[in-house]
Amino acid sequence: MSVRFAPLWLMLPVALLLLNACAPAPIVTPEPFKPEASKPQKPESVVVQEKPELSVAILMSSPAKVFAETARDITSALKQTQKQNVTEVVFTGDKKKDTSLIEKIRTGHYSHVVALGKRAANAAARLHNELVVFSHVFNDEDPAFASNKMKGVSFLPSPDQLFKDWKALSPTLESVALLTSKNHDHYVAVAKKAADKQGIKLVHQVVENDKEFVYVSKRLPPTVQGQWILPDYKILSRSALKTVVSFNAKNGKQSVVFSKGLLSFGALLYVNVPNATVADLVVERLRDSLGKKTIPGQDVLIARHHNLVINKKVAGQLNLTIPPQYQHTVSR
Amino acid sequence: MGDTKKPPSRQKPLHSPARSKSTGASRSGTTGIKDLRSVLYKKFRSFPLFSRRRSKSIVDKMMSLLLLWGLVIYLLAIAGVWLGSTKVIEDNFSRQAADWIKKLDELGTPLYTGNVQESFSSIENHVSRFPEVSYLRYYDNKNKDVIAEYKSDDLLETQIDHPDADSFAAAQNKTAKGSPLFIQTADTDLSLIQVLSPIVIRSIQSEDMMNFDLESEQKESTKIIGYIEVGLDFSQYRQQLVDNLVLLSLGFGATFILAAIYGRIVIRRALKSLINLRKPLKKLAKGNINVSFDSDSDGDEEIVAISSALNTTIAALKNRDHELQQLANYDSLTGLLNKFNFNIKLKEEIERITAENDSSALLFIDLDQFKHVNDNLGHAAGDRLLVQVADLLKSRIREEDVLSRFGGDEFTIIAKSVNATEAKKIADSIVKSMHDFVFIEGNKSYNIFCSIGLAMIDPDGSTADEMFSQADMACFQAKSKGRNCYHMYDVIEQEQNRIETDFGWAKRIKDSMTDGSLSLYYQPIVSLMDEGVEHYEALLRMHSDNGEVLLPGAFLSAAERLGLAVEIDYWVIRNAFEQVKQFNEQGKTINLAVNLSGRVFEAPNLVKEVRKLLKQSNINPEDIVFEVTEQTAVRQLDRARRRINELMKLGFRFALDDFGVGFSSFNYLKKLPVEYLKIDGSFVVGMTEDPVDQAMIKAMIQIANILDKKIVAEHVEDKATLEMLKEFGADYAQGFFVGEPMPECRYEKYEAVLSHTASNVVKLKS
Repeated sequence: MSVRFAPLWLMLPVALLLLNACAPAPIVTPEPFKPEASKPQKPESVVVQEKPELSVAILMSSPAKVFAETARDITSALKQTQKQNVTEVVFTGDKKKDTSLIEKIRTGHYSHVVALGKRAANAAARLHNELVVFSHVFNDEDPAFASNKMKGVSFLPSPDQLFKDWKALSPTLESVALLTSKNHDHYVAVAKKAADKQGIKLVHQVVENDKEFVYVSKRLPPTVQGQWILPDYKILSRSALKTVVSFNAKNGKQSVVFSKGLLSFGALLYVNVPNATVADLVVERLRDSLGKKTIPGQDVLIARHHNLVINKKVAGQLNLTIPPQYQHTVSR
Repeated sequence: MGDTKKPPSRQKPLHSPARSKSTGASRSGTTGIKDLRSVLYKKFRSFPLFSRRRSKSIVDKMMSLLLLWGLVIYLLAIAGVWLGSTKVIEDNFSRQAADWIKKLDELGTPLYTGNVQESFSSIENHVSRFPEVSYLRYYDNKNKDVIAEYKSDDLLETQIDHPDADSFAAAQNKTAKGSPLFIQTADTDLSLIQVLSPIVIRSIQSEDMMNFDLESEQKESTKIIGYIEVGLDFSQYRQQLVDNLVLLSLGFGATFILAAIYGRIVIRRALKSLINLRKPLKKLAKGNINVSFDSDSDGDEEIVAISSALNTTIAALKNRDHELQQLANYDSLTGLLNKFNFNIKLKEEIERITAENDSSALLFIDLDQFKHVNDNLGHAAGDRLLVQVADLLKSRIREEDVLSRFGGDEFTIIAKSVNATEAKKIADSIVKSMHDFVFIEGNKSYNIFCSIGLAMIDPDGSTADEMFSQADMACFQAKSKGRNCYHMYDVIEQEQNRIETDFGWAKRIKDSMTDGSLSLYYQPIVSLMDEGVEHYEALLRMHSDNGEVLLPGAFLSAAERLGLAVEIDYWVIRNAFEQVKQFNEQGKTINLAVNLSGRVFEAPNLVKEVRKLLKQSNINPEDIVFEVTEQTAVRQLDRARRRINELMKLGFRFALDDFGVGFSSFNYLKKLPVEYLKIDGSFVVGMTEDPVDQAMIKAMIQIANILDKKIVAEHVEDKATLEMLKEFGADYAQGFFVGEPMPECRYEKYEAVLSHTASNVVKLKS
């Protein structure tokens, strides 16, 4: 079942309730990917209603650029439609300081907290009065952050869109492997479903470390034509990534990766969800929960758009024909 | 998969060398080593570069240097290849070990995640295909227990120690520093390389993943989950390397030998012209100048120059040799053989005749008027006469005959293979030819005749000297017969002549002692140190009927043969005493030296006779100095000393005559109570030119001084000798320069002689 969220955020609350009730899993299937549009569509006409003012604290796990950009995008999006009071807090990794920062948040009477990154999510999980939207947490199931007052936005690509794109590029693709660490059941289930839709069998295996990641990757059955590599830091090392991607390229297996650098090692596709997309979903969740005591909707929203880069050289080596609508995504 | 329990300590595979050699074997081994050393030393010394021989061939030297350098380069090349290969192979082993660790690290992944037994079976299957993997162990990280173990068949019975805690720590540290391996050489005889490496898992930190950069230096989390230990046996590869190196060395060696052989050929070819010099040079070094050097213009420029120089030198040597031969064997005036060479030819002829039972003749030719020509027309005319006579004689002999100028105006001929009759014919023809010969000089013509002595050379054992003597005697006979004739030597005739001669001499000597034919001549002896009394030596002379004065040599041998020598000696003593007496009567004092022959010196009644004569003359015996030859005195030293002492008791003094010519030791001088030592003239005559004579005279003077004896030098014939003797410290001088023997003691004449000599010579007053 597919539900279009972004243009319909002003639909009737009943419809929303119905949607929530009908959803089989807490993960929302995104809209089909539109290659022509590089940025998510903004609502063409917005009727601003008087709503209570948002008092948001954005917690960043570190001063990393990705967090800063996302925070900036969130603030920017909120400014457009909402009275708001946004405070940005950056964790340093120092336990004492971080505890002190949390205490300030606790006493700051914020209605909402946005946690960017796992460290921030961990801290925010200790808040009880504020509604928390977390993002940039790779594995929200370990530990399980989601609750009525704390829900997230995934920065992983939409499996539906990914497999659709992948199938379009490689029509004969029938079997793909996905190796993850444990506790990725939800996302893997969504991914399997999305793969099935495209007639692709997703072979999933849990591995414990980078060594096993390499070992298993090198011993995938010959029927497996490709491997999707998620940014699963627990089982990845740089050398393992390079080894596996290189190995796949040498053995005619297609690799879908989360790092552009791996294209030069033989990856076929690079998939990445833009920070702005994630920021939009975070803002959406904030608005949805405005004036409420819980955050409605699924535990984790998955982005509906992602950036895609096709490795032309590898595609050529694999005898893949790049469809015209993907030409603009081809790497040079 | 092996036992996971830690095995007990490994048995150390010590291999002690066998020491079962017996003492005898050791001894023979020592001897063998010595022999080997000796052989090697000889070989080493035979190597031209290390030979102790002074002269070494340039070719050999160059070859030796070539070989030496070649050997050095060869050894360096082999050493370089060996070291380089060893380094390469060690690096290769390290790389292989690293590869193995990487491979086994990956293969062993399931051991830490899944079913150990099942997983390791596949690993075992894999590694068993590689013989270099001797054993393999996986350890857990916590207790370092063995999770899985593999051993090759070769090591099944061998226990290998587990790494100790330090090894694990070292491996961990190495990994921390970026080195994947901890390698140690196994202490077994299996030449194993043991490698211990931790199994590490890495993960990207969660925060880094949000800002992921593949090439970033962002630190990853690491964790050691276990260890791999693998024993790699590369001995097979090492052996292959050794085999290859040995082959390479042999190849190098063969190349080196070929290069050396080729080098030798090239060097010999390049130095061929130099080598060609060696053989003739060796001959030349041995004195053989009948060699020639190839100075071919195609040869090397330097060698051609050397060859030309040597050829020129040899030619000069040959010329000089020829000249020397000419000088040695031929008479420079006439070109005939000289006396020396003729003597050789005569000996050869005597040998031939003895061998072949043949006969030849020796002709001794003496020109009769040569002295007249020489004295009146000069030596040049005399030389011309000799040349013409030589030409004449050459024309009178056969080709096989031998003609020589024997000396002066004497010629000799060997007429080969002739009997007495034929020899006489030859002699007669020569006499006739000479009779017809006219020597023209200065518009005047002279008739020159010759006397020829003829002696037959028969195989009767006569020597060359005897043959000469016979021919000489025959020539004398020819002259006695009136010259211009020949006379053949006859033994019987000669003996008869001798008897007749002796008979004549006996009468003549006896008569001479009464008729005044015998007389004393007096030769002055000058003191070089002071102006003491006059010294003379009394010398015996005989006057012949034709007024000729005969020296003692002419008649003393006959006198001795006839037993008249002692009588003559007493005559001399008596007359010497008389002379002194006469001087004394004139108021003069002289010292007179009187010679005592060996025969009279040893006569039993000498002292008695001398005492009687002394009494008769009534002279001072101290004025008389008896001279006894060194040979006479030394012959019976004790007896001589007694005799001298007896006469000295009478007041006479003694001088040792001819001192230095005997072979006696100086030691006897101490036993002979003589007052004077008369140095033999043979030392004095050439002393100014001969440093040896000078040294000997100095030594004699020095000894005489020590023994408190005075030195008299005889045969002083020039001023330089006299001055040198004075400088040396001689006491007296005697000789023709000082004064010739004279019939009277005329000291004035001696003064006159000295008047023009050096001022440092002391003049004695008359």
